Amino acid sequence: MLGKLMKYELKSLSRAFIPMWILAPIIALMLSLSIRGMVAWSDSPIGRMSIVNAGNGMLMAVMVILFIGAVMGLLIMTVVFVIQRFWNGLLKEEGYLMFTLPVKTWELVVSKALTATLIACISAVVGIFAAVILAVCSTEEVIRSLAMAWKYFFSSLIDLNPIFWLNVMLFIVVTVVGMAKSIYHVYAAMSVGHLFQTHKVVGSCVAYIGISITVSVVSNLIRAIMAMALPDDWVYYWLYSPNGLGDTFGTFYLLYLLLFALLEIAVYHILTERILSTRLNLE
Amino acid sequence: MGQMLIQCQDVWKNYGSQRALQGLSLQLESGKIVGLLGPNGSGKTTLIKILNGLLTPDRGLVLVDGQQPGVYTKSVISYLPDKPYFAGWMRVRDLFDLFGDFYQDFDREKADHMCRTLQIDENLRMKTLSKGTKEKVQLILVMSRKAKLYLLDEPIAGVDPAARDFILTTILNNYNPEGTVLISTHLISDVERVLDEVLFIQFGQVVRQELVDDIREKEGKSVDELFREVFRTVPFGGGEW
Repeated sequence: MLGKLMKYELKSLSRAFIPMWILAPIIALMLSLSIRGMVAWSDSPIGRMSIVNAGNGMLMAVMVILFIGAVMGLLIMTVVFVIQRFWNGLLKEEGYLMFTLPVKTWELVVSKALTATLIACISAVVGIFAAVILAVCSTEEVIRSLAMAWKYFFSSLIDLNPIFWLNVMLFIVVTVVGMAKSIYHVYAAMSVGHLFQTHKVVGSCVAYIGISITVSVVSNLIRAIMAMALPDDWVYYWLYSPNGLGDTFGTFYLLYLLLFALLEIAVYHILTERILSTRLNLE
Repeated sequence: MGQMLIQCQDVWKNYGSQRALQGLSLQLESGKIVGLLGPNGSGKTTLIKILNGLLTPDRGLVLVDGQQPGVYTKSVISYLPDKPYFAGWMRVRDLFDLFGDFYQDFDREKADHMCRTLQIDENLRMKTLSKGTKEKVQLILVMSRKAKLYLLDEPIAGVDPAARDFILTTILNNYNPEGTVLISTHLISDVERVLDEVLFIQFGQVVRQELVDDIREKEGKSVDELFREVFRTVPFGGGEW
């Protein structure tokens, strides 16, 4: 049943996102080509003499801001859809349909969370892809420096130890799990808001802030306890991981982040599922 | 005597300080068309939502086919809500697919046939349909299931008399005769002809439960007349204007 629920959830979300995923790289490409044209124009003898030249720099800045705006738009759209699909899909009229389907409540919650995480991951990849297109196609310098960086990156890979790769993998996993955690955080807040008789939206916002503060306090407590328990140099590495992804301390830190995120997901899931199972009130 | 399909015992439900159900108890057998009749705000919709698990009672016991509301009861209940619950982007056929995926008792051929009869294009999106057509699609979905319990919340409210006849005929021609149909309404005269039994509900309690034939034979009244008698309110406390 989980698969079937996800199928409908994906169908619903992909309608809005697929056009955005197609449009973002196209906008980036068009933008980069216009930037390239402007650079060529301002470098030309006529362009250098032209009074338009001064304006070109500003125009380019505006276009870059526009692009950043588009990427931000994709991000905001993802957040809005995550909230809307849960709020409207389960806690408003559509909830009449979903909660009368012969499925378990946890399946409804997990199907929404998995689908939203998938959509958020694809949006992130598309955003990065669009940024790369913009950078690569804009100027020759960028292409050259990127090519050099790429070459250097690959040549240095030979020297890297397996821990680097383990950490890269862990970093990706932590990022994805982190997205799922953020989504579940919103779900838990909306479920708590649903318990309010009136002003459910305000209740959800208050719950979101309350959960954030609680998590922050718990996380800092754990850090403090670890700081007291571990030798000083370990604490230093553990907190700041100066060698980044290249060493064992990086692995420990990433594992800590992963475990903490998984713990948060488990708490949010239980909270959301219990409220919707035992305190559902679709008035 | 048939098997008890619905059992409610001392069910209470409040919305904040407002009381919706106040110790409601009832038992209903299988194989009947039952009218859940009461004035506005008497607790009809609340009872229906509790039966299908959309509301959680504050206290009391609710059993449908011997089980508390959950996955099993949802698989045997076909619910027609008092307002549309569709996502606007869905096409009619998407909804049929969805029902086919989740309800084993959904008869797709029957749904397609009803659509053709009513000349509803299955490729149309729900947001493009008129209010009346949306209600028809909802009715098709509900009546294309061979459910044990049909919970129909105000199926004829807000439609013209011709549409009421169509809705009632559709229900009569398509329901599973081994199941029970519970129709909530305050438009008694329209549904009276199809009912086997009536439940009068007031202030969140069942105040009367009788077979329609008994009402006619013993009291020599129609259900509509009895309803007006039971729920008579005296305007302005009986005083002068």
